[in-house]
Amino acid sequence: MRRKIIPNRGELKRKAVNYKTGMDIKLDDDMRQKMEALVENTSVQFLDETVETLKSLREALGRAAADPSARRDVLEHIREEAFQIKGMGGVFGYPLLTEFAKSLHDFLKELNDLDELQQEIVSIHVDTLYVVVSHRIKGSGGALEAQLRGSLKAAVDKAKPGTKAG
Amino acid sequence: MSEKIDFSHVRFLVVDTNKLMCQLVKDILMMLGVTQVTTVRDSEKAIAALRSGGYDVLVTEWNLKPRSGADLLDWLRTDGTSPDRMMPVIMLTANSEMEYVMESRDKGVTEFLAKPFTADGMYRRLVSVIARPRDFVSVPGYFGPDRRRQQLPFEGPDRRQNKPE
Repeated sequence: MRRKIIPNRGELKRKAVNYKTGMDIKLDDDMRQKMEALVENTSVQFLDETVETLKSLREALGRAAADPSARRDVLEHIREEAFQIKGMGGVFGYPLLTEFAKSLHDFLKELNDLDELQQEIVSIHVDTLYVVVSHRIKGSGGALEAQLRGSLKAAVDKAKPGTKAG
Repeated sequence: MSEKIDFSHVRFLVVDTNKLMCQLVKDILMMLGVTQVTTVRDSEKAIAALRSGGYDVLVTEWNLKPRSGADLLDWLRTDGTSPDRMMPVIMLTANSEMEYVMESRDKGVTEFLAKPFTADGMYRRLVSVIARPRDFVSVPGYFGPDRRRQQLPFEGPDRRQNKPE
């Protein structure tokens, strides 16, 4: 097999790197604080949007319960929103949102349908995410966080194959 | 004197389905001094933008439609109509599991940054793609940055019995 090395043209480096103007190679504390403040300011918008998302997920679950033919679309919708919250929560200082949304996304990953038990599991996830948002829970290691984590795990375990509900 | 990066001349294309994430990444880049940032929310618009030219760095989410961010990367690296097969690509994604890291690498990603990300993590990836450009490798089945990281010269005493061939 022929391996060909193509030297990098270095155009971008020539365009941006110099010894006079611009940012240091290592991010300085001042700029880091400014960037963190920017993220913090945007977090209000993130929380508002997450509340709306969670409302939409509750509505979607209602549709799935009322109309079995809507289940696949609902599943796709919830999977997409779980993915978004998983990616965004921790950015805005809410690692628990990322953790619980990941749990929801993982739970839905291989599903093709949403039966009643699975809808219940999703519903518990949505409620748990709502608690995190409404209480603005920023940490991940306190008593309330542990309680939420435990309830969610118990709910997910219920849906595992071979586990009897109730 | 130490190296500095003047971001004002670096042009970015940011691709993410999420409007708020697009805006946040754009705001962060502009805070660093970038003046040209375009955001789009699907992969077809990204391809159209790339074809129209004028971008230095692509920042993309994996989870895109109609084709994924991985397919977008593959198109950029291998398609005959790609505008710049060596463009730096940062995969900024909530698909943070190892399988996605490995597949991105195999498709020729320049840097991988998992969401949720920190300001510091984002900055380090930007510095890497701009100030530490890597050579490219072309072998059957792979076209992308050299996956071996920079080899730094060893400055200690040479204690080998025989010189390498």
